Amino acid sequence: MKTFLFPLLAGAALAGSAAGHAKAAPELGHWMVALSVANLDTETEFYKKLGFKVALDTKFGPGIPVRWLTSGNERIELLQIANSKPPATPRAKPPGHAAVQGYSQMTLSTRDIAATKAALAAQGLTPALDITEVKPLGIKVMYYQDPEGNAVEIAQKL
Amino acid sequence: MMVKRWRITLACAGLALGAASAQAQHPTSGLAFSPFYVAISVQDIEAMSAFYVDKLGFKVEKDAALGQALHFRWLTNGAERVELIQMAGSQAGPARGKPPGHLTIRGFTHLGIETPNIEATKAALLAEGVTLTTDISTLAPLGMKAMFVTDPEGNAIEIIQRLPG
Repeated sequence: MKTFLFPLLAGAALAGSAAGHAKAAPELGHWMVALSVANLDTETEFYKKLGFKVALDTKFGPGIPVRWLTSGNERIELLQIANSKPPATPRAKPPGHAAVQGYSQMTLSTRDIAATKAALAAQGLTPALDITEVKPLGIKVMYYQDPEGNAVEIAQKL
Repeated sequence: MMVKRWRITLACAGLALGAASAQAQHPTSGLAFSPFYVAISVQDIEAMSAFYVDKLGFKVEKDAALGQALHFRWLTNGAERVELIQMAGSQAGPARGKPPGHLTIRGFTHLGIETPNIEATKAALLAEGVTLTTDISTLAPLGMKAMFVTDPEGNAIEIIQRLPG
């Protein structure tokens, strides 16, 4: 009898807490940023220069080629579908890229932005926007553009 | 005193050069990134915040302005951070279709957020009145289950649970 009561009480407690907090949804984690691209290979080459590695290279759904690139705990999903088109209004070079609404950039965290810039320069990459302090946000940032013009921001906390 | 300061500066510059050349020898060393955030340029920062906070359980971490032209807001939920940017004079982006049709226009298409329990997340979203753009489906080649929701300005968010194994 005692063992029967205990699960009942536990069940009531769980139901009570779930009903009391409709927002008791699981905490979320970062999975990835997805990019629709014209050319998987040239895009992959660029992100390899940033130190990303190919973690998955497959097709899904109606045969859509997909590639996952990872660095640390960041993941980029590249998707190449037939007949994709560039947006009618292209994004300007950063910082003007945010003038078009929608996902505007992915931002990667680094502990040493100057060392990262030097490492990327050794890979032949030049920032589209050089290291700039954004005081109100407490960060220093720089921007690169991938071969298809997508903005990649690299940020270090001040 | 001035001379001493000058020497220190030179010494520091020397150290920095040394660090740079070490970096050049191992160009990809030190290039391990963590996600900082995914940025969304928005038309209405308040309406967008309300969706991410009230419906998806994000919290406002930071709210800052850069003059009159730029208003930033960082929203976080667990390990995910979204930056909303409201820029004066910004214009609407392309209208993307329902996933996977949203991929027909190139560029950043969606943000992928991980949940440990997609059914529980779905139930919580439905309880908040959020409509799923696509229901839960299993993407075996990717080792995950996923569903899509769309924010008030049409940005697609994929909510993902890793498949066991």
